[in-house]
Amino acid sequence: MAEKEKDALDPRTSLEVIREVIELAKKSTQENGFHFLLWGVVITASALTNWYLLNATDAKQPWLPWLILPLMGGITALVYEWRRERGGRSQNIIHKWYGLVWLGFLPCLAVAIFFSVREGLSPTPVVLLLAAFATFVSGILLQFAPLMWGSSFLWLGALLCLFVFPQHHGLVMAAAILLGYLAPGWMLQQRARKQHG
Amino acid sequence: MDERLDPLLLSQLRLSVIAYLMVAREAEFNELKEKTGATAGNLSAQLSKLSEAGYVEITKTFRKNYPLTICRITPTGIQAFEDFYSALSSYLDQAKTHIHKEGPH
Repeated sequence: MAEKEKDALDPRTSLEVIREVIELAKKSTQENGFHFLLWGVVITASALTNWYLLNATDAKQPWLPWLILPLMGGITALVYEWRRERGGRSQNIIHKWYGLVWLGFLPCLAVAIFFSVREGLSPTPVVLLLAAFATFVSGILLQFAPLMWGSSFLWLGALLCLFVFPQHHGLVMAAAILLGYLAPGWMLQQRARKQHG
Repeated sequence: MDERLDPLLLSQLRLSVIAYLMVAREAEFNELKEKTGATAGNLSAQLSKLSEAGYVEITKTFRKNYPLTICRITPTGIQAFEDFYSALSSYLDQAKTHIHKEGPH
């Protein structure tokens, strides 16, 4: 243990320092909800466009929105992260874990879609289940209850798919993502704005 | 002053670093410098003391050819902070009780 220094803090000041710094650290480790807003809009738009093309037109490739919009979303997310890193914003461990959760989600998503399509099944329920799990874990990591609660809309959406014709699964997905992902993302952004002034 | 209070944490900068890392778990040197408002030299010296005590682990690496220093709190550091906080709380509680009984001087 170190020797006592001449300018050692008194206990009351120590407590104030702890309170101030912990508050500061909490703000720094917070996410601004950008990715939830981006992917919430991308997935809702893709699901609704796909549903419309499938049910109201004779489009030969109604799945195209699922290719174009997520590709645009991916490019936007990469540019955002590149600019964020370039802007000198340091990576904290919460951000790193949260990124890893969604990185782990991607191969699960790809395999689930591949199997569902190969078996002639709608991929929507399993995609919603995977998204629910990743959203729930994100909520725990970011200590943000609306995300944890939001994931239940995704679980309910997956369950609802059992009682809805597959051609209408796009509507279920759009509603579940809107309530369980986009809305908590917007709330996360509002919290970040409020705390950062 | 209470003898149970870890003297290593009775320094504003070292306490700020440990408290910050209790939430963030790890942080870059520049982030700590910015958040604590310390000079690079002072921060570096205090981090060395915390590292010698085993409270933080310092990793030096590179990002895009620029040196990058990452500071991570260790389980010993977490325990030290928790002990410090609990000793601090009980010291302040005792002080409050004393003032209540004796009245302020």
